[in-house]
Amino acid sequence: MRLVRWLVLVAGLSFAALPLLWMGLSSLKSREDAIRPHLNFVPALGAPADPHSFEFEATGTAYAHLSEVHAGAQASFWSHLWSSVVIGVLSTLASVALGTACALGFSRLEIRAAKDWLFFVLSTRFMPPLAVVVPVLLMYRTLDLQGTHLGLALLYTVFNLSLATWLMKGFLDEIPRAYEEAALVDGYTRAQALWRVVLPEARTGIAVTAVFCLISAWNEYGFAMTLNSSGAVTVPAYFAGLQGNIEGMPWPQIAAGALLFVAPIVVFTWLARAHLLRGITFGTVKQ
Amino acid sequence: MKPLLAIRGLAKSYGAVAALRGVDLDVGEREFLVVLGATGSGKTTLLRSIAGLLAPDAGTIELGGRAANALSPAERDIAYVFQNFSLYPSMTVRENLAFPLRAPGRRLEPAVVDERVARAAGLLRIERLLERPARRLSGGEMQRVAIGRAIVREPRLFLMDEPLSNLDAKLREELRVELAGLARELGAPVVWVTHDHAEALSLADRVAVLGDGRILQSGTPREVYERPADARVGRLVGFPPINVLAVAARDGWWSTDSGARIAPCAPDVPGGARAELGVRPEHVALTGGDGGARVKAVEALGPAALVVLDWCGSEVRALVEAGGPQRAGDSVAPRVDAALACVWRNQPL
Amino acid sequence: MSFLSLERVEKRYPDGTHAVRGIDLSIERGEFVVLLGPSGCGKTTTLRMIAGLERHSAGTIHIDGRDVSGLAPSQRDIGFVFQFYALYPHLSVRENVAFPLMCAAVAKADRERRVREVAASVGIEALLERKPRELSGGDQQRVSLARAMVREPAAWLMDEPLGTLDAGQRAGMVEFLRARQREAGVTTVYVTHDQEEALRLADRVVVMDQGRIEQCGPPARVYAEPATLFVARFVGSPGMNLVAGDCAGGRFMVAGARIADDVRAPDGPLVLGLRPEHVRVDPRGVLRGRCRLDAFHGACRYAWVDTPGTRIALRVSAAAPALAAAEVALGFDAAHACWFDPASGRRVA
Repeated sequence: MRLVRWLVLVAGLSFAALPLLWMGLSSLKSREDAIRPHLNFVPALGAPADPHSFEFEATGTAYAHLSEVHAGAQASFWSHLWSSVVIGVLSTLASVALGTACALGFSRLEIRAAKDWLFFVLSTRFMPPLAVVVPVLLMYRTLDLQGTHLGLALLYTVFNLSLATWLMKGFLDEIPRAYEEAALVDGYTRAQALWRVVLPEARTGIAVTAVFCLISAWNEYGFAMTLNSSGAVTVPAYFAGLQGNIEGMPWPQIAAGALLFVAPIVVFTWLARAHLLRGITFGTVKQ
Repeated sequence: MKPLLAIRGLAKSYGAVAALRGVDLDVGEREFLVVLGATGSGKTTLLRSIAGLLAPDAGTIELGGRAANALSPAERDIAYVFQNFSLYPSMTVRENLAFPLRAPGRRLEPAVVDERVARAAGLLRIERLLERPARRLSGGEMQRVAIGRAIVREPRLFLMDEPLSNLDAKLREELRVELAGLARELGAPVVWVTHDHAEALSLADRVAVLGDGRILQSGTPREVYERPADARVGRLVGFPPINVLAVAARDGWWSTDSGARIAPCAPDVPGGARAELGVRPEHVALTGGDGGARVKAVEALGPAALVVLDWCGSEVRALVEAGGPQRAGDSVAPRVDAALACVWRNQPL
Repeated sequence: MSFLSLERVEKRYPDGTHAVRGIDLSIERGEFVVLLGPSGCGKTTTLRMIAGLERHSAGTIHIDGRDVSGLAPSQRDIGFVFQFYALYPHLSVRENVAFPLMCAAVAKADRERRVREVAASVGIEALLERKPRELSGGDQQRVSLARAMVREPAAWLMDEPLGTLDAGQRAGMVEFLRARQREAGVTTVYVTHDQEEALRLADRVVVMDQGRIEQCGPPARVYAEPATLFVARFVGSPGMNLVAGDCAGGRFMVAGARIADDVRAPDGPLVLGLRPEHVRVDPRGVLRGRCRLDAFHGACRYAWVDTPGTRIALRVSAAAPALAAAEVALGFDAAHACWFDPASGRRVA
């Protein structure tokens, strides 16, 4: 029984992780090895004796070349990664802060027609975002937000705000009202009670919401491509732009860049994992 | 002497549902008042109105002789122990205890805070828990600390909303004894709400029975137990529950329609008068009567046994010493101690 | 062979928790057995293993002569009542009660007849068309009992079914449950942490602690002759008073004072166990202390006296003079004393 369980686990894991592994191996190849027609996937330290073996010479040049400016792009990978980080972090902070504020209102105050408002908030996600790309483009051109960090960060914030509001409302509803009421009786004002008691208890929810917002902003492609093709280009748009490369695609560099691009999300999610797990079981542990 | 808390005509409705329909209640300077009521009788609404967490629709609340309706919860200087909440799980016990003292309006020196926390911890014997995060405490420990949170404040009134109801039966009983002793020691005024009559009887200086959004009766535990104002109060207080029998005066006896002669009635009662008779199970003896009853079941209750009788078709419970000879199916001749029976006249069933 | 038997049943969770540490129990057909213990003692786990909701890690479970180890809950022919009613909110009461019959492919006419019968027996006929959320807690629990009963299973398993009700509703439900079970004669295993409930309901009480059975016997025996210190403390409200001392040549000494003679126990450390009803105020008594609390209990009063080393509870009649804060001397009824070996925790005499 145990053995079968392990076998299934291992099979599932290898199936899921194979593309990542392949990407990792590709990032260690030279360009020639990467586009060689025969199969080579065993990294070796020196050049393989038999050119038709499965071996290839492992090299770090792809990582070193990330700082080069490739044809089809305006800057090196690192500067695009920086754009992604700035836009991702800004929009995540803004969505979580605004979403939490909205959710606090919906969860704790008596708002007339609160259900209708919540439905309206959700309805902003009904339309595929790319349907409004042209009006947004025109608007951004007028406002001079095209090709800026601020422009994309604003846009992602707007997209993620509905998600953040709904998620946070769910989490805040789970925190007993008695928490604030106890603080009120103890001599705190409502604002102090929210800040000192409710928000600390909502850390889990905040972490979960932040992960979702960051992932969505980090991987967004459509708007990044149309709005920021000329400045503050994020990594997904940068990779796509490399397709126009007259020297052909620099596969090892793309593999190396993609790995580095995934890394921050993995690290962030890893750091927040304790909260995430608690977040998933939230509401089921208490009676 | 003016009462510490005076409530007049307090009413509150939630939509079409009236929770309180005019409550009058006084709490004295050093009084332990227990408000006893069934689930949904408006107990929590009453407490929340006193605390200022809820604005009543009508009525006045006076604290220390001053109108308090318009005061915020903080200004009322009242401590509240909640039923479904005890502590902030992410803080340690010490932080939880100090939290009310660190409220910005209070401006206490850190040394004073430490001293009060230490004193409360000593009173409740939770010193060894001080550095532990609240979420790692057991239920009983949590509730102890929650009460500590109220004590550190040195408020002018304690409000307790069924603080023991989420604990195991055994733990509840232990903490009850301890809190009753502590309250007497501190001499602090307490309003404690509960649905548990044993809690009410053993803790209270005075019990106020709440039903239908009104105070049905208020008095010492003994008064409420021995002289309940009506059958509802009688049923709410005491275990095993009081026997309530519909009777009519016949030949100098209160008799059931099926002919069981329960107790002699006073000579001034006209024949045929109807009444409800309330008889505590411990006032039913199994011998000395006319007979005509059969034992339906015998239940062990530890020191006592509960004997369920079929007395000419009426179900009557008797509480007797454990280890008696009665078995199900036996015939007995029950007798009611007439002096201790309650007669409620002219009350529709 | 008995109807339901557990042999050396254990439950170990993957995280290493040893919830049940080897239980032997046999239950006769038609018996009402109550598993009693504090939270975390393994009683619920045991019940869930009988039901098949949890798999036992070792030992065997037989129901009606059949080893049920590999059987799913649905194949064990049992009805389970959960602590939280677990009614389907989107179905009416009628549909909820009929639900277990739906998957058993019972003819429609039969099904309706069964639902009507069961509804009548638990007294919910008038509620059949309502939705669960429109019912009070007591009524919801009746519905969930009806659902367990509708299928006429070989055994009823009940996990603290009255835990969420308030004291008043609970008293009535206990009698109802007991009567229904006697009438239907269905083997019942019932879990509770409330010793009073256990004593009232059970043909046999099984007291559990830390995954083991401490004592198993009829309620009166468990109350009067607890097998271990744990049972002595846990059963009874308040529990048995325990006085630690030493035995030498048949004399029981506490801190140099002679408390009892003619004790039939070996020399060495010994614990005296006394039920509160066997302790009395006695000017010649050797146990002395100050009364901490004198609490009214309805039919009687309980007083707590702090003697050196231990706090002793005694039961006094409601009419006896007040003891609060007085210095009192206590005597006891040697015939009812229990003696325990503090090392093993077991009763020795």
